[in-house]
Amino acid sequence: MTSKYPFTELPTIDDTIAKPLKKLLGDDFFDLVNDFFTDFPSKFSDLKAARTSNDVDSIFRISHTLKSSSGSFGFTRLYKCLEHLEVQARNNNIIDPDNQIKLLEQEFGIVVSTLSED
Amino acid sequence: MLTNEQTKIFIVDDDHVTRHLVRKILSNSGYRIFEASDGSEAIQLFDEIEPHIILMDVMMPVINGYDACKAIREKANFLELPIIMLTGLDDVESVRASLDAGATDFISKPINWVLFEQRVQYALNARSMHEELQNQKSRLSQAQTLAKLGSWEMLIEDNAFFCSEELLHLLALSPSDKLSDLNELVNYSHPADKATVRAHILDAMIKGIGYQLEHRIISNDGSEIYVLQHADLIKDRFGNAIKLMGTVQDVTELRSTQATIHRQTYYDLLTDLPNRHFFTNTVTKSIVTMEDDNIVVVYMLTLDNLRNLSESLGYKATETVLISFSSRLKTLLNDSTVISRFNDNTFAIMSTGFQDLSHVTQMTEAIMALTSKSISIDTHDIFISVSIGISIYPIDNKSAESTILGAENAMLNASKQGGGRYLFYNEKSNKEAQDRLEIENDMRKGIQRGEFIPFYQPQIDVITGTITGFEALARWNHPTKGIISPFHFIDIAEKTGLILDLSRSIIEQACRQNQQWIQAGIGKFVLGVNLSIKQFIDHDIGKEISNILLQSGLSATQLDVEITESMAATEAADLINALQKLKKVGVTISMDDFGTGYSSLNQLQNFPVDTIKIDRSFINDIQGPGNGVMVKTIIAMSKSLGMNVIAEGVENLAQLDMLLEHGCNKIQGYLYSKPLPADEVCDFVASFDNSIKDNQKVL
Repeated sequence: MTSKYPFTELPTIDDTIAKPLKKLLGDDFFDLVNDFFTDFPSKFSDLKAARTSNDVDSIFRISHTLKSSSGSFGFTRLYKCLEHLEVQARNNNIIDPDNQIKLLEQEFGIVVSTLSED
Repeated sequence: MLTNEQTKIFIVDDDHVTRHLVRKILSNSGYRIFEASDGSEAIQLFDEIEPHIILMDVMMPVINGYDACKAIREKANFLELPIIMLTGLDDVESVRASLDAGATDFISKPINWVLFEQRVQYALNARSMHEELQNQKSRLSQAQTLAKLGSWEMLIEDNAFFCSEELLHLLALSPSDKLSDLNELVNYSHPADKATVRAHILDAMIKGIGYQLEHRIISNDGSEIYVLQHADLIKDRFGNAIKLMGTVQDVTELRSTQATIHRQTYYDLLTDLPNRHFFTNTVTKSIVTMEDDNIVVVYMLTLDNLRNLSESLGYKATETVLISFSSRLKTLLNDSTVISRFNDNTFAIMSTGFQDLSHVTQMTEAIMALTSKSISIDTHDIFISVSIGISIYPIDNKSAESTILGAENAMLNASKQGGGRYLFYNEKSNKEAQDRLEIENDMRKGIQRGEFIPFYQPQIDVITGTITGFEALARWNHPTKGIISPFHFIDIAEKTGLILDLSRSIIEQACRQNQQWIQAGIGKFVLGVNLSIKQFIDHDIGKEISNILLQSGLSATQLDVEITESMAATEAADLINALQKLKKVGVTISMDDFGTGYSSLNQLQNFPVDTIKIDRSFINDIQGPGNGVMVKTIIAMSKSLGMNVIAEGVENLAQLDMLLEHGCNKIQGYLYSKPLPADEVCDFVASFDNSIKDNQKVL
């Protein structure tokens, strides 16, 4: 199944990635996720600043880094949205960047609240 | 193989979450984890860390993963370090760029953490195996260099050829040179060895027989080296030949060392003669390999009074005598003789390859003759004498050791008896040798004194009733023993070479006698004389006979030269030439003892023979099974070739009847007369003529 932006049909967290990782790391998993959650807002601010100054290279680099971490934990929808932005930034053709950033913020909130439920 | 605790893993990623994940997961298994957040930092820390594996993100600030990978790869010592790039999922371009940059492998992001450690472990295993392989290769290469051992292989399917650096080194080629095929390698063989090398390779390829061959090669700088080459044909599991593999080892030094060791072990350094070990081994080998009926003779020689010489002139003088005498001994060397300095004052000689003892007396005399001249040392002329002990295998002793010991004992006895003499190991041999020597000396004197004379046996044509000729037969008119038949001296004469003088004397006397009979009107006979094979070897027999005829005045047509069939069988080619020269002189030629030498009709046709003389053994038992047929065949065959036939040894009328029945009318034998001394021939001719006349009257 081919998924398209904004990837609403994908799960927030892909259990095939997250669960084995949780098993592998034990409590460390949550420590690492917390690190990510702590780090994310500052990086996200950088992303927004880059948008404001139309710094496409920075948008590309930050979205790439955040994408990598998101993917590692199995935050699939957040990962795909970041990848969507990264690809467009690389091609210097970002469509509706504000909306994409807003969506990313929402997705991050969903991830945090989903994991908090755990 | 490294343990996990020893293994250093270097994770380079600007995403600290990924770095932490890697650290958490891998450090749980004991690995030592090192981190860098971009390519630049990775390059800086690399030398300090010396990691065993690098996990490198592609997209990083400052210096990206590709450039960092390239920079690390350029460090010469880390060509084999596994560098695994962390690339985007389905990002084929990143994968290709990673591999181009020198990465070993890649892991797609998002990383499958469950399999992650296994992927890392796999890469580390591959690295260990590769490292071990490199170590083995290096060890092998070092060993090959030390052993001067090169290797090569040729794939059968496409003739592709590979060779090791050490082989190129052996051929004095540089490591960058290449041999295009096996033929090029073979071409480095010494010209004299090339065919042998090729033959072995062909055998290996066609018959699957591996080989080990020592040969010479001429290397690129022109130097000649000895190599030991091994090769084997390698087959797949179906038995199909897939490649020929070989090693080439420089054994030049080894050979030289072996030769030196061999020389020191088996040769005497003073005289350069083989020593006791060599001699004993050679006698043992000769006894094992000799043909039946042959003998092996060991002579032990000691120089008499050498101790006195040493005391008066010093050991240097002794050494000079030993060297000088050994040089003289070396003149006796031939293919069947080995000469050794057995110990200080003793030399040993072994002769083999013959069956009779006449060689023994000849050799003994030859050794004795070596002492006839003095040896000069400074102002002194030293006269030497030798004591010789002789032992013969298998007559005297039954082993190499006992034969040598026997000769040594005999030598000591000869020395005790005053030296300058020889003794055999046993009395019987002493007696035989002395007898033989006595006969030889007697014969020499006899020939000089004209004691050897011809007797004449008539040859009769029974149909015409005429004496056609006489065969001259040698007799020894010994001053004390009377007339001695050739049975007692011909063999010795042949073996000692006295036959040449003896035969010449008989032919000269017989020719003069025949000429006298012709001039006196006794009869115009054809005279048969016997020649020995020795008269054909290194002798111009045609010229010799021609001179004798000239001196005697006898016409060549009155002389018939007899050769034996056995001579014809052994010396065919040269003999035919010599006989043709004789024919040109004008004499006729008979083949004596025919029927005993297995000559074929074809062979006979090649010889310029006028007369065949049927051997007495067939006539003697002409009525025996097979003999009649044989005689009939010889007669028929001779006639068909246009040759005359004479039957020898005819003793009775029954034999004569049978011969006449088969068509042979010329005979020689006791039926008419035994061999007669010259002064009885006239009476025989007269009485024969009278009896024929009487018979004719009766008829």
